[in-house]
Amino acid sequence: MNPVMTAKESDDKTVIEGAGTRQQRYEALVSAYYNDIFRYAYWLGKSRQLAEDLTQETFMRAWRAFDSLQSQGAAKAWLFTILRRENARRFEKFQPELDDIEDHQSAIPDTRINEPDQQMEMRLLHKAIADLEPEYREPLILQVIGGFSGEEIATMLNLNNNTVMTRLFRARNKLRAVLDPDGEGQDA
Amino acid sequence: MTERLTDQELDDLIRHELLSVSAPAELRQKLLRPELLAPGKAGVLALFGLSANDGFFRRVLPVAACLVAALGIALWNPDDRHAALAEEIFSHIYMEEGLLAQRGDLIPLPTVSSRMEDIVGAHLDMSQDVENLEVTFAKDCWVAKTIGFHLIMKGETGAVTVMMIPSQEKDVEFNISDAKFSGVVTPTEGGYLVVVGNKREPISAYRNLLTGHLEWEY
Repeated sequence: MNPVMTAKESDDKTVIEGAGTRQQRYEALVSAYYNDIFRYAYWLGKSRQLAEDLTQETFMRAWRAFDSLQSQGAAKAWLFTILRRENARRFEKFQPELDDIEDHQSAIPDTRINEPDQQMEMRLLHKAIADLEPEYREPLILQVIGGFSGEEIATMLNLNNNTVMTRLFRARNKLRAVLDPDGEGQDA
Repeated sequence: MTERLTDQELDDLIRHELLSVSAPAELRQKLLRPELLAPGKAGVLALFGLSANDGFFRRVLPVAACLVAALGIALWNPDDRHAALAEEIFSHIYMEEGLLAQRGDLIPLPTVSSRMEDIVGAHLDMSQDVENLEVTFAKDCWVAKTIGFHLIMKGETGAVTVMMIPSQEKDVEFNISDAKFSGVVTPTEGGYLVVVGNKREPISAYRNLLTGHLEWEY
């Protein structure tokens, strides 16, 4: 479960498989997950425009196939899987070179991070995450944004659990090396 | 940074940064207009002007007009709706009638299935029967106010037209015909499957074969 889920999001997730109309349940699905889906798309494609397109395409397909969604518990993994497939399809076709990661500005200013050196550190981290090889970045995104377990990530990425755990460990090590170059790195 | 990061501090920073990205404020409203999402083509949203950077907003008005027309069709009684759809289908076939006589190279079935998946989000499960189909044309098409998939294959007595028209309409199967062609429109999980050929063609056999191997995604 994503620890930043709000009470509103929690309510939305209850409504998804409730007794409402198809439209109401779809609206609840959107409200509950569109931000996470956008984030996932952004970190996959490293472009806000691509993320917006992917999010729209993901929910378009979700709407069309909404009746096949059996349970609330499966909704998030279902959406993330749709998005992964859409992203893969897009790259197969166009191989776009989109990367506006350098221009990223958080849409929600965080008052806890207002010192110039802290901001610099976060920019460094932002770029470091974006620069991670996809095989390391994607499990990390799925774990942190999606709140998925190692086993769930393994299923989604068609990997075994040990591989996922190793990649998560190495991803963190790579980021630590950027933020804390004097710290002792570990390797799996 | 002068002190070594603890694992928890590192995790907190990573979490903070990954979650700092937020969707545009207007995105939720766009997503809550499923009537705009009804056509089944991946990427069609850009065509609909929902992609701000693409500069396609000028297309919104004509598309909206088409959607109003589509809604009108949906509200007609079934006979009227079926007649309107039949007219759309036959208009499309006659508009592209030249394709029926083409003797082009056959398109490999995996290619056909892949194009179908890209355009309408469905694919063909391969089997020996399916692989025996001889497809000479497979592209997207604009039919019944949406983007569908149009393929032409060799039948027993001439060319057979197959269309897939994405729709959420819960409908019943119905036959269509005119002076030259006969066909059947079959509602499937993600839209209509249309099979049309000349009057001696075993249309229902193709309908059965295709519906039995058609998989809509998700």
